[in-house]
Amino acid sequence: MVEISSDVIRGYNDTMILFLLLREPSYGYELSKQIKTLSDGKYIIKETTLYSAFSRMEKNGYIESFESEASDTGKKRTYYRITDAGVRYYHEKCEEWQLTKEVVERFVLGEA
Amino acid sequence: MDAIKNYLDNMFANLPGTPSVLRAKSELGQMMEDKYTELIAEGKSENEAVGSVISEFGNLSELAEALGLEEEIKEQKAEENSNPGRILSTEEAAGYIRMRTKKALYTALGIALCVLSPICPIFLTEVGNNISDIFAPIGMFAIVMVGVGFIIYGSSLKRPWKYIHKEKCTLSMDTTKYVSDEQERFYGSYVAEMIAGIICCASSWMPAAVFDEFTAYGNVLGGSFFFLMVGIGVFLLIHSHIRRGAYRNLLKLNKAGTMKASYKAAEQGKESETMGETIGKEIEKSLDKKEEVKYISPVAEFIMDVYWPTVICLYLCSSFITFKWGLTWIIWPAAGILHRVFSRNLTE
Repeated sequence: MVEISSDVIRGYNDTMILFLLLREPSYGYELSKQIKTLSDGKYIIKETTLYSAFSRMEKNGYIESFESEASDTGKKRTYYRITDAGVRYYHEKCEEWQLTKEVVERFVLGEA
Repeated sequence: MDAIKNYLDNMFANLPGTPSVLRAKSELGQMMEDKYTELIAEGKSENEAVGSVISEFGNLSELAEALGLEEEIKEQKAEENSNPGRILSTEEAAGYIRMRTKKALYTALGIALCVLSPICPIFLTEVGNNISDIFAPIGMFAIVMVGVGFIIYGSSLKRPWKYIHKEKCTLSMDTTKYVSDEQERFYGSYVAEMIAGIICCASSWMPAAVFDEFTAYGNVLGGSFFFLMVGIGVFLLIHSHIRRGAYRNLLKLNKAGTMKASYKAAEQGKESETMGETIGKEIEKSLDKKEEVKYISPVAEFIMDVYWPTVICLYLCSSFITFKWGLTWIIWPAAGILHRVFSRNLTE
């Protein structure tokens, strides 16, 4: 079975996380679960990957963290929310992907 | 869940305990716990859940940038590749602690015997005939020899363990925990022994003073009790100190500043201390201070090195020559004051 290339997907982890955060603030495991579900289980993001993305984007001001209690269990967790800069960055990344996809696709054979 | 916690502990064991590292660890732990809880809720077995959480964790080098630890993680990898060192197993650590416990007993016993040895001539000279006069020094010498034998045997015990320092051994997180827990358990008896030892030594002159006043055999009983008290005190102090060394030596193998080295502080962070712990820590602090002292010159260092043995010699000689045990104990408080004056003027 073909697996997703971690080199290629690395540049778009931020896009996936920001997409999910655009809908609502969320926390680590919830995000990784949603990425898995939305990709039909084809992409499972590793915890270390997720955390380093959080840390990098927080440093760049794309997301903010805050402590909050989970509605169901009342457990304290670190939540993340997207900032205005994060929204702009997300749209840039989307455009970048459109371009990348358009270019690469011209060199890819259709279904063999 | 413990397996996951251990995995994470081991992962972070050699990293420094900076706030960003602690935050990463707690958040990663949170994610793993969430995932684990959900897998269990889905009906997965414990093993399956732990397996998939760990396999989907990722690797540490990915975190390097997030933690601002590019250098450390690279260094750690390089070190692991070039010189893996030896990781002491928990059994080895337990063996080392057993050895130190045994060594503590023999060494303390040996030194205590040397301290007790003058009791022999004190009694024999009191008998006062020719034979006892001859046997007084012989008996004392014999006891000292036995004591020295114990000391030598005690120090020979550590020989098989030399590799611990030679081979760059380190402790795994599990072993660190084991040793820390053992140390915690040992702490109470350590403090008790220390306090009892100090009390014995500090009050050793008292029976001598009392006997001298009230009994006809004041010299004999006073002197004997003095050495007995000092002997017991010295035994307790040395015994507890050497045993304590086992735990300190083992824990010192962990590189300072890493999460392992600060395991207790990070893990428990407990504020309240019992009175015994406070006293124990004070004693330790004063012992540590002694190790760090720097003298102004080699001569000064020599003087301080021979200071207490000289005082003991002076005390024994003057006491045996004059046989005024009720008076000669004054040497001790005087020596104590003089020691303070010396150490203030001869250290940096």
